[in-house]
Amino acid sequence: MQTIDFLHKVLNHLYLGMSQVAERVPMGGAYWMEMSIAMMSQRIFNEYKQYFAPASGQAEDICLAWIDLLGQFGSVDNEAFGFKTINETVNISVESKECNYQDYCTTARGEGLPFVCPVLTGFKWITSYVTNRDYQLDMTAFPPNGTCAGAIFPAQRLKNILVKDGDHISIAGERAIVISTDAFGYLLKAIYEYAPHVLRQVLYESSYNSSLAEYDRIDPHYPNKRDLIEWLLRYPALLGVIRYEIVEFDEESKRACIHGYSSYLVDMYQQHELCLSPRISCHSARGRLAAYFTRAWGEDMTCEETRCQSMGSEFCEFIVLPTSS
Amino acid sequence: MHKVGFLGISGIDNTMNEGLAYGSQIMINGDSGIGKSVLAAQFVKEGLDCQDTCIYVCCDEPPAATRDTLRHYGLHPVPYEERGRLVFIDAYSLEPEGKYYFPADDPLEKFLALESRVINTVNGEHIRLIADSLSTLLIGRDSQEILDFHRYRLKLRKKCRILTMDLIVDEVIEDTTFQVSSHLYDVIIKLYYTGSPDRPVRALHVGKLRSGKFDSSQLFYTIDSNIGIVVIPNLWG
Amino acid sequence: MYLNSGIAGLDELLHGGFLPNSNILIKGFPGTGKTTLGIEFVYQGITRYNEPGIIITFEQFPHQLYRDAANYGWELQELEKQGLLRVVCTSPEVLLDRTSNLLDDLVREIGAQRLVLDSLTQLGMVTGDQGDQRRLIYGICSGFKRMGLTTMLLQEANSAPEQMSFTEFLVDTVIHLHFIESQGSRKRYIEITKSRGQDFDTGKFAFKFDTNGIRMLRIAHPQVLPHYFSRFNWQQKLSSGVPGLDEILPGGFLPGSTVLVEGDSGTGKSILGMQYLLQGFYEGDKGLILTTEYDADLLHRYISTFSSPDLAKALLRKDIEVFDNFFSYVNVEEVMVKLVEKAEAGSIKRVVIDSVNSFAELAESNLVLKGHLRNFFRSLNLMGCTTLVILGEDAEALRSQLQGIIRPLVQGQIKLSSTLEKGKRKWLVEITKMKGGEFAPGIHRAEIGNHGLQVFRRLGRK
Repeated sequence: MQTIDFLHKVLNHLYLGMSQVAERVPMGGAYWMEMSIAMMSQRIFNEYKQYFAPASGQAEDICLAWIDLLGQFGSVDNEAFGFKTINETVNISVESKECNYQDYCTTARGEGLPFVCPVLTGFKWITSYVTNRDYQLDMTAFPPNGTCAGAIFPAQRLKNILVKDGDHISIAGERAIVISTDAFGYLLKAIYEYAPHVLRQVLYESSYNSSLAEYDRIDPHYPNKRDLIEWLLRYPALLGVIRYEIVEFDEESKRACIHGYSSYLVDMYQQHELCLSPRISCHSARGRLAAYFTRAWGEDMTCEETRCQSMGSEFCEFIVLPTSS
Repeated sequence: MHKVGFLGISGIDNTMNEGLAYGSQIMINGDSGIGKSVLAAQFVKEGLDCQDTCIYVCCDEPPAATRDTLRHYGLHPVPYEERGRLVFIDAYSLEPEGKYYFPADDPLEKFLALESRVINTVNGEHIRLIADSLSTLLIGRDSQEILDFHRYRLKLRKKCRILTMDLIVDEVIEDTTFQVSSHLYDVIIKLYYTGSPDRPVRALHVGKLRSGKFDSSQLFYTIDSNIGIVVIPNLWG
Repeated sequence: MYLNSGIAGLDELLHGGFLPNSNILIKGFPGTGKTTLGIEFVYQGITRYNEPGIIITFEQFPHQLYRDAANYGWELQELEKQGLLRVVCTSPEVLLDRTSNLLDDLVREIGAQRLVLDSLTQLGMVTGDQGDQRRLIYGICSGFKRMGLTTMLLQEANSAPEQMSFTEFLVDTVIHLHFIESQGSRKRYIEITKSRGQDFDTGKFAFKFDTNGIRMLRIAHPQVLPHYFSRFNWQQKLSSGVPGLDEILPGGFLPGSTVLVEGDSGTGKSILGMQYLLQGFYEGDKGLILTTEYDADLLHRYISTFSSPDLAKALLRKDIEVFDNFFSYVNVEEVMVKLVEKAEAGSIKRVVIDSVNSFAELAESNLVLKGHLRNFFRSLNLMGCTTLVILGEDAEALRSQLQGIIRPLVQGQIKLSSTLEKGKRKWLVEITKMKGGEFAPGIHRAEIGNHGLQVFRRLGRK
């Protein structure tokens, strides 16, 4: 095996390794991949910026200049790329067989690891950097043979996950704290001791209101409601709160059925004895779903938990339906 | 350990540490408007939270109104009805729409048969049965019939280990009959107004006849528009 | 004191058998089975009672006779070789020839005790004069008696009944064989009209030829067959299928019992019966209904008025067998035998008789009916069938007679009635007897609605 082939393999495996880590670390995910690639691109740019000569400040020209830069040093075949600008969106295509990261791409997606295309992310980063404007990335097609397609377009700044910024950690732009279930459990216990009758309502409403705000912040970035909700439902899993699985999503009749796994409230209710007898516990999860769907479908929605892991069910079952139905 | 049930009103539940065995029978007694149906709604909500199956007999208003009450206190009935965990018996409407209905002036034997049929149909492991208000079904019937009905019904429900809650409106049933009937229940909760006539206060007391003593200490309560009956903590210890 | 014919069921009709040394006239149209009866009489005598016999025929050649007999497994030639039987194929003239002593010799040779003569009709043709015929036949009958024989004389019945009708006066016993056509099928019946010096059952009794010969279709006192007992769970009560009724029974009907359902028309008897069968369909029990009120089609339509098409499906799938050609039968026992056979063959668990009143129409007397019903119910019970017997409205006297007969024979009794109260019909149910547990006494309300009969347990103490 040629050294170059071996290095190529190492590169792909390195990316795979990063994806695996990104999936495992608390609050991990694709965002970390995107961030690593952006930082790597920054370093390349800093080192080789004398070779970067865009024809204009237009996004497409910036992308062309970036691919030329990479092409000059032989890491990519710049002939394999195609660019087309419609309005402000640059549609990018590349012959997949010419892509250096095909191995990573296929394996990561096959294994369900967080995947971010290093090539498109590079374009996104350079365009954002040069224009000083945030661009968003959309990966649309990954044929095993043929032409991969994606697009970059200007977007609002999306602080989509945990960011450490000085003394603050933030989630989607909001200051966040990580506390142990014990710490949170004693908070709930205190509420329960003083006013047991409000706990259910408190959990539901607090979660409902914070989830409405979350939705509103993310909403502009996702034209498709289902994508948006899927994205929103992914991050509680990353935070170790609950893992959701959409079973039914019927926008027409405004009905959704979502299964939940490993809800922290199941443990909380049992460990901290927040009830006199076993019962359904995931009121925050209900509140969250009610809020998201209220916004998504533009009607006041309610969520009922009809099965719960705290009652020995295999999963929690949430039914979302219009409050007035 | 056998599962026990609670009412879903923490201020009362806390006084019954051991809870209610399934098969217990609760009588809720009080004037109209005092909050019996609110209590019943909380009882249903509690039951559904604990994965029980609830059968609600509507005698004073149509099931739709009871659904509204449940929704109002934070429980959407539809998903539970779809899963057969909440079943209404309509003993109110003249032109009932539901699956189970009972014309209020039909013989009580028929009511019992219908109730039994529904109980057999739902087939849940733990069942709660709520009759709101049972007294309405008894209007205009003679004392012997009422007593016979009461005795036989409660015996049957106990045998099937059903947690039964009967709402009885004050003064609908003649005194002696009421007295005798009330001895058939394990728990009696009486709701009433107290205090001065211009500033009435809601109060209740819980009686557990079977344990031999009748705990008559009164609890004050208020009705919260989101939660329902909330017992006011005893500020004097 | 009796001579057993050996023919299944025939001796019971004669309360034991024929009187020894008697002359028995078998009369019937061609094809009614006279010859087979005669041959079997002799064959059974030889093989079962060690009574050698003689067959005299003017009608057939021996090989025909042998072949016909072989169909029933009767190897006549074998018996002839053993010297227990003689088949004589001859003419009346030869038989009557006084000089030959043919018959005497044969009787002496094998020690014959039974004889069959086929037929008297041919013998009578020797002379055209009625008086001569009479003397001839009288002579021959006395001859047989003198020789110590018990004789079956076969005689063709014909369209001119007065012809040779005197024979009936010359013999001890007269048996008629009938072949009656009814509703497209022909059935065989036997009828004893005379038997000197003994009692016998009167009326037409059905019989058939099976592989072993003649079999009387009689409802005899049932035998307990061990395999019946392994067939069902005898502890498990059968649900009545009527909502509320099980509650007062309680639990349902005891397996292997007979329950009488009484009531005027419109009180829900038939519906109860059908719900009982329908319940069987749901539980996988096979059912059988004898109906004299409906045919299968009408039954189907009737059931559809209070039930889903489930039962229709059940009927089509033969989970419930319908016996609706009751009146094509001439004899009540035959119906009973048929029902028992069907129940046996179909592993039937639930039987409904709707209605038992019809049995009375076919029975000669109440006494006879009572005996038959007793055996009939017992047969069904022993097979594990649980039978609902519906007693419908009838003339008051007739009805109370039937009640008197049936009530002591059943293990359970349900009375249905209805009254008008404030212009509304009110149905009532009362259990007056029920084996297998404590039932809820008193009168319970009932209702007939879209789903059939429903019973509401009476409130209050016992």
